[in-house]
Amino acid sequence: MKAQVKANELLLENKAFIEKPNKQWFIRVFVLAVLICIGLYALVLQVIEGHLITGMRDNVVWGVYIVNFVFILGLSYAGALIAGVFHLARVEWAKPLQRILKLITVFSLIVGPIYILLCLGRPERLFNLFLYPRIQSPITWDLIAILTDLIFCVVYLYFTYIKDFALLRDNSNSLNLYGWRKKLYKFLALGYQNTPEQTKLLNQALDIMAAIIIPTSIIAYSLLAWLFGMNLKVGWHSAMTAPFFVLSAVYSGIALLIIIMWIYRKTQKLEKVFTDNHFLYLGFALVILSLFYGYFYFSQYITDWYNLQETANRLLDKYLDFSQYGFHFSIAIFLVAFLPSIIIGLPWFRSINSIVLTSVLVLAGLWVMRYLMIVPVLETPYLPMQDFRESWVHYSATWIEWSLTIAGISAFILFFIVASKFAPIIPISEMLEKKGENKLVIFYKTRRKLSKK
Amino acid sequence: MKPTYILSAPLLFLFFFCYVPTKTMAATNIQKKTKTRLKVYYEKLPNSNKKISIILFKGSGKKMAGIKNAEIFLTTYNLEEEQVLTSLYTDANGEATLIIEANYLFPKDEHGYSIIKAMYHGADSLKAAKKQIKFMDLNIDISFDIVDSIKLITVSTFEIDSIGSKVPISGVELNIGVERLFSTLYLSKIKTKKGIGIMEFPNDIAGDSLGAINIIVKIDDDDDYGTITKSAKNNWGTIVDYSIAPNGRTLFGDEAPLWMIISVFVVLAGAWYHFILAIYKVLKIKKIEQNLLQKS
Repeated sequence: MKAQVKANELLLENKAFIEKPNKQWFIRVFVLAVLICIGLYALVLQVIEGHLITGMRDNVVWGVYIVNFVFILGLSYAGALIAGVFHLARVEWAKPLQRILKLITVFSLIVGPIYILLCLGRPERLFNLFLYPRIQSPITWDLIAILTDLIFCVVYLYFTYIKDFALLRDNSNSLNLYGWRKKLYKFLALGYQNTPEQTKLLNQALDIMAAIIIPTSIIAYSLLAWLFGMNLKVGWHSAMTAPFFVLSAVYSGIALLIIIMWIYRKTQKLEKVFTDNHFLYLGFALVILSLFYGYFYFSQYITDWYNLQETANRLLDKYLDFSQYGFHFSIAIFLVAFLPSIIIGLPWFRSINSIVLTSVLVLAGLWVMRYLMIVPVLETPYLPMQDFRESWVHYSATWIEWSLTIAGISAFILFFIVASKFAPIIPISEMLEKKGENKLVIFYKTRRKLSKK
Repeated sequence: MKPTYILSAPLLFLFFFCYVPTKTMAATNIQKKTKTRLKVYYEKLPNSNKKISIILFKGSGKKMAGIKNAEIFLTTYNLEEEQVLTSLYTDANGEATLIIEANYLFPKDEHGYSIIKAMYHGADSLKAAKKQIKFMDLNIDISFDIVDSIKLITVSTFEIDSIGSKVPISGVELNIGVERLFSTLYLSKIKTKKGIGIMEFPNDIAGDSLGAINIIVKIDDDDDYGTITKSAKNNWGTIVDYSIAPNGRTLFGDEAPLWMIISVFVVLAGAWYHFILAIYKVLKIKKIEQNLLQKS
């Protein structure tokens, strides 16, 4: 009962953020909607004019769109993976982060796949992928994985909201809410009354979802990696591709989590919830992941470096040549492999703001690394391109692609703004559960005792 | 209203209708016309039709831009006079193309060259431009022979004179290749002697399921002959049965391997079973509430 009272108090303390929106909220939504509309205008132009108005051509058939697709899906799988592990391991300090992680997962899974559709020259033929799927095609694997993951993650997110929906339903008279929202909370709470039996069932369901979300995310992102890895292309055709993708995803997910946490800490005055320790723990996670990233990257490219494969050397030359991709490569590898160790690893520069700034730079660096993984590889086929126009050999994104990229980011932010207005950004009920109250239920009992008494 | 405002209204009117147009006119008068340039290419197509391609543009390098909807006049010369061929309009890229039927013979000068002149008369803001090209109307014939099991491609190059007889042309450089999926695979470069060039065809060129291939003979942007392409089909390629996958482990075939189907089924079934189990548990929450309500 004590926890219930505390939960009510915490909800009412933060009620300003979920009550009827004010003028500032509408201005933010309007600005984001305008950016999305510019993207939609670009999309209409692309559908009418075709891919000719983008930078994509016969050789470099994938550009910024696929970079966004891979990057955003990485964020999504990272969110699911980290949330699942934190939940199953009952990591107490990570409880306030759970909702942000799950929201990152679902919103990225909505925004990310849109970019793969933008790559299609004939999007009206997409239905053939459903009508005539080939189980041996990596595209079919990816389709099944993304759809499965989207359904699982949306349902998992909803399950984690049930306790808070019940809290909102019970406190709706103390909150300044629209009538439809009160009805919706009642419907979504599924009659949850915090009885021991209901709590046990819900916790079991959450444990099951967390347990299936972890392998699903790893498999789904590995399948996406194999979409590249199964191609006989230098830089992609490697056994390292899938593990490297998963590592990059977790790395980018942690960086984004720090940024979002900082924004909510500042805007909703959640210093007591998102404490300095949260930033420190996640900052150290960034350092470890940056070292792993550097190790993986070095392993992959030193192997290419030491052999005499002509095309691999041509690709490496492009990464090292400052008139080509040398500048991008040097900056990006510094940001993702070394910067966290310097800024967060060394005590002199370590602070909340420096951790957040590092996260922003790491995220930007990881996006550039994705770009470098895709575009220069497509520009370096085994048979060198000859007698082509410059624009066919070298990819350069147009305003159409950039505006659709900005529209995607705006949609992601807009979803967050709307979601945090609809329900608290922190899982209040979950946070106030006592340590050890929600024990992990073993679904399949072992025949032997795990430990001798 | 203050009298100064009333006075300023006609003054503003005078400014806009007298001063501004005068300035605009002055600017128009001193505006320089932009220089334009023409590029003309002659090409003989595989069906022996002749193609004249014209590009009208302004600027150069990255600033180069085609001029659209411009009328280009094409003329040719014989020994005595200039003959108008036709006029063409450029498209959005500043390009225009004329296809001339194979049996049309261009007039020739005393050296045997045909001349085509393209002219653009200019516009208000664009200067006029003209460009002339000279070429010989060369013909190519391809024949195939097998001598002592050696496959030979014989290419003859000739001109047709005024009475319609073939005049062999020597010293012509020819590229010989085979049509592939995306471009031509060039095999050899030969030079004709007394109008004849011979090339030995290799035995390891892949054809289709019947061994059919398309031989391409090409002269590429030559100063005297322009671009000429001629092609001929034969069945000298090695027979390739594309219905058989080159390696049993590749996944290009129509059917997925059994292990893959089983793996996908097991993984999906396992995941969806647990998902439905979780949904079932959550739906029971609602039932418990209903039971509670009934009891109360």
